[in-house]
Amino acid sequence: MFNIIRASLFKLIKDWTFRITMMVGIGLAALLIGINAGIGQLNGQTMFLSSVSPSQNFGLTVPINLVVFTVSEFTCGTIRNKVIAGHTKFKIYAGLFLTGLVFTMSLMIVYLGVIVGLSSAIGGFDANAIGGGTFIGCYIVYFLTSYIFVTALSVFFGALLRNIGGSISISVVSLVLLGMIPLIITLAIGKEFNAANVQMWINPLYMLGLYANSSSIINFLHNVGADTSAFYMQNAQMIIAGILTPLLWSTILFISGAFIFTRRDLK
Amino acid sequence: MEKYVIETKGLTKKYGDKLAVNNVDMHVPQGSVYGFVGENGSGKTTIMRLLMGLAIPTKGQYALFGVDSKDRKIHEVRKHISAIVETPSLVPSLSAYDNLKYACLYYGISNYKEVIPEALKNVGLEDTGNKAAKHLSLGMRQRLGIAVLLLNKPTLMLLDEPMNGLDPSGVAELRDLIIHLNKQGISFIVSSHILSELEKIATHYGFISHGKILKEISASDLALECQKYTDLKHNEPGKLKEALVALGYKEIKEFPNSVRIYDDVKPLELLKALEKKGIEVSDVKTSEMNVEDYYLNLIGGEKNV
Repeated sequence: MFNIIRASLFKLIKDWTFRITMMVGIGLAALLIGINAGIGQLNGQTMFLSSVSPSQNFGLTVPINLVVFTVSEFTCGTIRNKVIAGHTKFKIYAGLFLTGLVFTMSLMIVYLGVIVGLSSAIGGFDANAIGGGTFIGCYIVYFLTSYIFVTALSVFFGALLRNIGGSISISVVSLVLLGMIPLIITLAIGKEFNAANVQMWINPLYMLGLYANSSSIINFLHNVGADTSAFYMQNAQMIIAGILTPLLWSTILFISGAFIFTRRDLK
Repeated sequence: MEKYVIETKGLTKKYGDKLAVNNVDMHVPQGSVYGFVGENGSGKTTIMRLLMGLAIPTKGQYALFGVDSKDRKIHEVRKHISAIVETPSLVPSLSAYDNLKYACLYYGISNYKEVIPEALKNVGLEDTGNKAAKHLSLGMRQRLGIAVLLLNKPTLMLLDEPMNGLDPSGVAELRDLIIHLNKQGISFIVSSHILSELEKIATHYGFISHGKILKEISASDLALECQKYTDLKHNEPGKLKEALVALGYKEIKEFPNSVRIYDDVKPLELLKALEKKGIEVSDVKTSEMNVEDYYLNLIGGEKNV
């Protein structure tokens, strides 16, 4: 298992797609900072909330590149070599997932670091404007668990379809829908955004999506006269849902992905 | 008793309604170069994929070095086996050196700094180590694929059409490499359409058609079965056969317009002897069967190897 992950990480570091995506991420971060500074709305806390959405901006490039990385193992036939080398198919699938996780987290953490670091340095970071340290801690946890889900989903479809076009389409559409549902629901339901409680136990990207779209939602709540300060308050139920729901879906995707992978032929 | 590195029993693979491998019993002796001969789509590659764990058998079983395919130890056994199935599996964007390093890492070879230059030298790619795999010629990629296979010091290698795309000198190099490695104790299964090349290296043969093994035979037994024969054309083959028996020939086979003699024949002397008996033959031809003729005889004459 360790050997598979070591090999995959070596391939990842040498992979041009990964390097280019990393550079694109840094470039995009600089561009967004420039645009926001240009319109006089640059601050660290807003950039922190809005830049990690898996259904917008740089977040969307993660499943695309992860699918390309996963499918390339099948198209080059290198996954076949690993089976021939005596690794079990379960370990190979686990290796794909864990390498994917490194891929996802390194891209997002670098992007987040650049965008939050630079925007905070220029426009400042007001933690109290977004509910203080408790909310920031919760939001980082939602970010981590949600991107574990993004990785599990992308690897699942990449290994299932073994086709770049199809896997990207289905992964991106799923993530856009899941990420946008919190916004749609909140806008549809109106003041009582907590009425969407059921959603947070079903939708793995609900908690992250809710706050990643916070500027739209806050504006809406403000316009309908709701108490916007309550928006960032986190109760135990929300925190548990923000951790459990994405992890549960990730586990389901990982187990079913590994199950299908071990029972299918390799070309 | 002969030891087998591969043994299959009733191995069967179905794709939907299509039977790709049909109840195959196969035996690859230890230390052999097993020439796998069959027409396109006969099931050679599917059998190799089944043996390598890339495909799951529909029915039947196989054993590698005596370990059953359902035994958990099979993954340990596979660590001593290498294979190229269809095309060498390389990462196109990585250099030859990095492709070998990637393989070393998943094989768990820690001293790759010493192993890789040696592997590149073994296959004659020492000057192209920095070139991306996608920029290598087909022959070079094939050689790089073999370098990957040799990294884990295998005791069994499965090569599916390894001579494809190689120029004559490449074919000769590969042939020499297989002979050299076989002498070191590595067993091989080699499928190839270049049967003349296979004849130079195979110690055993497996002939396959439509997913079924038709015959397994050692190269020495095959040589006996492919022995020299002489065909004599005559419109009364019965009469000719009688004359030949009278002349002392023992291994004779009668055909509609000819007679075949498997005994050693000196054509001129035979013709004179027959003339004395008042028999004139219209044509004399001495031939020897090769592997291709033998296979064609087995499958009934379809030429598609």
